Amino acid sequence: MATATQTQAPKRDTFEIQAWRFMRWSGVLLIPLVFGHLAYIHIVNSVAVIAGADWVLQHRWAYLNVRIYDAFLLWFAALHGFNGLRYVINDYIHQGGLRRGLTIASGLVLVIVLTLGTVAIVASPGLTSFWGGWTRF
Amino acid sequence: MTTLIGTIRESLRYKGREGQIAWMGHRLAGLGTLLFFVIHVVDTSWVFFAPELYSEAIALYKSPLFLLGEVGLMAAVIFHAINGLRIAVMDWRPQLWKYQRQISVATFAIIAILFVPAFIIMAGHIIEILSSGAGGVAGL
Repeated sequence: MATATQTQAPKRDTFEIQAWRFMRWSGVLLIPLVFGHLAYIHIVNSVAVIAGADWVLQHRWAYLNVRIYDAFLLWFAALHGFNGLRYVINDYIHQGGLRRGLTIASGLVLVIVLTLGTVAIVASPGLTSFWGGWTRF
Repeated sequence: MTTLIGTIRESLRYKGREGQIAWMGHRLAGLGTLLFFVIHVVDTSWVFFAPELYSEAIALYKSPLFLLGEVGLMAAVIFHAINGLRIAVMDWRPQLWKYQRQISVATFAIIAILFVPAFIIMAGHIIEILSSGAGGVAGL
């Protein structure tokens, strides 16, 4: 009697397959996040309305929904962007040492950007409301 | 470095037509957007870490050179977003691959259609900012 034999170990997704999949779904998610941000700041308003740090605290980060939105934008854009940079480094830099060095350096920049951005969003003073920040100036 | 120069030379020589233009544009727009993103997160973090420096950064964004860069950024983001959507759809539905050339051309058309109104509105903002004298930083 023939018995079914398992010839292959169950496949687990490798890091590269997970990264490939992440680039698709994070890219789709970034479309509304990024266009929402650009539409509000650069189309409905313009950089002319931004007066300084106090303006940001009063008109943007006073609202919890804006802080959450900016945190999502920061994390998804950073991870998507730096993984893309990793692809570019791997495609064009073939010398092992230089590739390693650039990958480590870009990883450090990623950590710095995420740290600076997250601390600013979370620790800035002046959070007063749950919902708002839709003003046309 | 020789591989980088070789890659650039061969990319320009290779006649990959629409698909290759989309691929190269995607990389360039992505890298350009990432560069701006890193600068933008650092200067925005100054709202918390260095409020006086943040005012200087915002004044720089209101200078002609950066206002022009803002329009270029909008173009890069629209290109990367719509072309990225094409890539995701093509990976998801391989039966569309036989129409890859037509889909690439349609993607370029959608990018242009989205960019035109954005360009007109942003050009209006730029004229307003520069004529009001709010565009700070002399010489830029």
